Order: sequence, then structure tokens, then C-alpha cells
Amino acid sequence: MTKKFVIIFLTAINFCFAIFNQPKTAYADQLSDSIDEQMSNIDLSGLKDFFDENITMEKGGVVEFISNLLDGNFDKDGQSALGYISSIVFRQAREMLPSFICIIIIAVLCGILQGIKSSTFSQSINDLISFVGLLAIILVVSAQISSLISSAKNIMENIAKLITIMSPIITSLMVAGGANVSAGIYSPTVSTLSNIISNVMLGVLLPLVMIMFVFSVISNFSSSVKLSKFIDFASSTIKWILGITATIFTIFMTVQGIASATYDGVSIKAAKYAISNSIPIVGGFLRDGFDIVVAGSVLIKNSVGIACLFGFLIMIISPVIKMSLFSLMLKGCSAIVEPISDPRIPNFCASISKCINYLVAITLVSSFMFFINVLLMIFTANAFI
Amino acid sequence: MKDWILSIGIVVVILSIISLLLPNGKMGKYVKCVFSLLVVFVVLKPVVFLGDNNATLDQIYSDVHTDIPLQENYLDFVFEKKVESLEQNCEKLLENHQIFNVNIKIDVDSDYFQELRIKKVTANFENAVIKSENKHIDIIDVKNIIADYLGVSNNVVEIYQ
Repeated sequence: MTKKFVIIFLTAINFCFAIFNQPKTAYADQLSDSIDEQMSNIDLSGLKDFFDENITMEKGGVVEFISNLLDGNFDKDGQSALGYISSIVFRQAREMLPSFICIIIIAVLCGILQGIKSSTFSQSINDLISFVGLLAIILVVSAQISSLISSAKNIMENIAKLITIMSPIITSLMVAGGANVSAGIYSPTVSTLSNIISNVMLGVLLPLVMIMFVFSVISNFSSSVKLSKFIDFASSTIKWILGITATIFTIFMTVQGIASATYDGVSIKAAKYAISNSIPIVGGFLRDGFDIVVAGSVLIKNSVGIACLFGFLIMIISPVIKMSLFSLMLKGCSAIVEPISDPRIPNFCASISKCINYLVAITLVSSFMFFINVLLMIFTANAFI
Repeated sequence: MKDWILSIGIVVVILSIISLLLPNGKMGKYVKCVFSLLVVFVVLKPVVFLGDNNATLDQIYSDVHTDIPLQENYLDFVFEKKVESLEQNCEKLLENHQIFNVNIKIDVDSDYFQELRIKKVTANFENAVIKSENKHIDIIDVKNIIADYLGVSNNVVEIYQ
């Protein structure tokens, strides 16, 4: 009797173990396999070539960076970013310092020579000394200015190029992730953005900044030719065009992004609700197959977007820091030489510094529009998984 | 634009040199006035002749291409995977109703920018095994089960035995 009871008891315990220890599906492995399969099918060669040409990544290329993001191996933190930025700042300051020391020396020499006035030199000689001193400073500053303008032009051209390369990849991933409406809406918007940047920024604003530079030089060069109001006109035009372009673009993208994402979100959630609620048992299985493919494409989309943003940040940070530092140091020069030199020299330095601020503003606004665009594309179809 | 800036620069440099060389007298003022007018004319030259170029604002948006080429190979692969998972789920659904080894085939039509549209669903019962006590199944019931799950009408579902 006892033996029978023990056998029945042990059988019941085994039965319970068999019921409650059923093998559960490893969802993380399935997602990882789905991601690997999709990564092998998606074409990232255009992005890889762009990054290899323009951006220096630490370990491997952009494809390895994306794979690390997908694996969760993102080892960048605030401290390393601050260290990187400060190293750029000090390096650029060291490179530009000789030019500014040269400017200060020229201004001081001119000031000293002009101080030996009336008894020794006539007014014409004083004017000639200012003329030559200013010419020397213009030559020193012009070399730096031309490199800054070409850096800004390069950044804007690269923004347009990166948008053109990145858009097919992210739009395809958005479609794969179920954000069909958003993808259909973003296609013309992204094209419009790249055209705005190349036509408005490169074709209108950058030439206006160059005109401001030239007129600042001319205005300070000759006391009889005054072009300061023309410079003010150019600067107002730049401010208006920048402000209007950035505002319209941001409002348009944000409203469009919210509306399309809401539509996609409602339709996807409605489909999932209908399927999972109509068949209570199968609804659970649905989440394995269909949702894993969608989740995989969303993760890849986010990783590609983040990689593009990260690479773009690396691309623009050094030129923007250089422009900002140059503007600041030129203002500093203007302040240092003002007490001692001819007024034209500090005025020239101050006006060129103002022009460079506009150059920085144009570069940052273009970058800002690109960031908004990529961030909206990343966040679309994220909340539906 | 390069020519325009160059012409302004040359005029200003010449004016500066002349103003340095000119003696300080009454004539100097008139010469400077003439050269200032010349500088104004050179600066305004592109504006004066703007009408001749027929430049319009439309040129800013003339190169807008609204079509982004999608990666069709990748999308075809993903859509294939999605259809595969739907087919597997249909088969599992039938297994829950004690009908095993049914081969489901779903034909879709997709525009990429629209959701998947199911054109036809084929259920092949050639090797099907019914494990319920009732060995007879109503085809219409099976059609309804599959059609309800996929959200399509019964006409789209075809049963082959």
C-alpha cells in the first residue's frame, strides 16, 4: 500500500515538472538571428564609402559601429566626449595662435610708428603706414578665412550627400518596420531638405557671407569708401532667410512626423489588437514571428540613424570649433590692439569676427535641420513594438 | 560673383592708392567723389542687370526629386519573412483546432508604401491529419477560421484536398 502510494506520488511530481518546465522560446536569440539575416540583406555600401572618405571612426568602419550598437556595445560616454572636444579646442588654438600673435605685432608696430607723428612724418606717411599694416593683416587673416569658408561649404555639401545616401536605407527600414505612411511622407520631405541646403545655404547664404567678408575688408581698407550699411543689409538678409527657413522646416517636419507616426501607430496597434484578441492562443505566437521581424528592422533603423548622427557630429565638430575659436580670438585681438593702434585695425578684426559668426550660424542651422530630420526618422515607428 | 568681387576690389585698391597720392586740395574731394560713384555703380551692377538674366525663385526648387529609391531586395526579403510568419501562424491556428500538416500559402500584393494586401490564401489539405474525435471538418468553418485571423473575406481563401 505504501509502495503504491509512493509510486503514485512520484509519478504526480514528475507530471508536474513536465507541465511547468516546458522549454520556453529564447526570444532574444530569435531577434538576434532576425537582425543578422536583415543586416546581410540590406545594402550599406554607399554609407560605408561615405564614412571611409569623410569620417574617421576609431575601430573599423560604420558597419562595425552599427553592429556594436545592435549588440549594445556603445562605449562612448560624456567624459570621453568632453575629452575629445577639449583636445580639438587646444589643438586648434595652438595652430591659430601664431597668426594672431602676428596680427598683434603688426598692429602694435603700426601704432608705435604712427605715434611718431607730425614732427617726423606727414599725414600721408601715417596713412601709408596704416594702409600697409592693414594690408599685411588682411593677408594673414584671408588665408584662415578661405579655409573656414571651404570647411563650411564642405560641411553643407556633405550634409546633402549624406541625406541622399542615408534616406533610401532608413526609408526602407521604416517600410519594413511598418511605418509605411511615414516613409511615404518623408520621401519628398527629405529631398526638399537636401535641396534647401544645397540651393539656399550654398547658393544664397554662403555667397552673402563671402560678400560680407569682402565688403568688411574694403570698408576698413579705404576711409573714403563706406560699405558698412551694405554689410548690415547682407547680415539682415542672412538672419531673415536663416530664421524663416529653419522655422518653416522645423514646424513642417514636426507636424508631419507626429501626424504620420500617429497614423502608422494607430493602424499597427489596431491590427495587433484585432489579431491578438480574436485568437487568444495564437495571439501569443504572433509576437514571435511577425513582431520579431518588425522589431529587428526598427532596431537596425535606429542603429543606422544613430551611426549617421554620430558620424556627422565627428565630421562637423572640428570645423565648427575652429570657426568659433577664430571668431573669439579675432575679437580678443581687436580688444588687445584697440588702445594702441589705428582704429581701422580693431574695427576690421571686429567686423571679420562678426562675419565668421554668421558662417557658424549657417553651418549650425544646416546641421540642426539634418539632426531634426534624422531624429524624426529614428523615432518614427519606434513606439509600436 | 568672383568677377564682381574682383572688380570691386580693384576699384577700391586703385581709389585708395590715388587718394594716398593725391595732394590735399580742392581737386582731391572731387576725384574721391567720382571714384565713390564708380564704386557704387560697380557694387550695384548685378542688381541693375538682374532683369536680363530672367532669374526666378523657382530655380531654388528646380532640382527637387521626390522619389527616394528604396532597397527593393531588402524589402522583398522582409515581406517574405512576414508572409512566412503569417503562414506559420495560420498553420498553428489550425493545429489548435486539431487539424495538423496543413500547408498554407499566402499570396500578397504590396506597394511598399502601403500595408501588405493579401490577394489569395491557399490551404492544402493533401497531407492533413485530423486528431479530434470528430473526423469530419467543415470546409466553410476552416475558411472562416483562416479568413477571420487574416482579416480577409472567405472568397480569398481556397481549400485544396
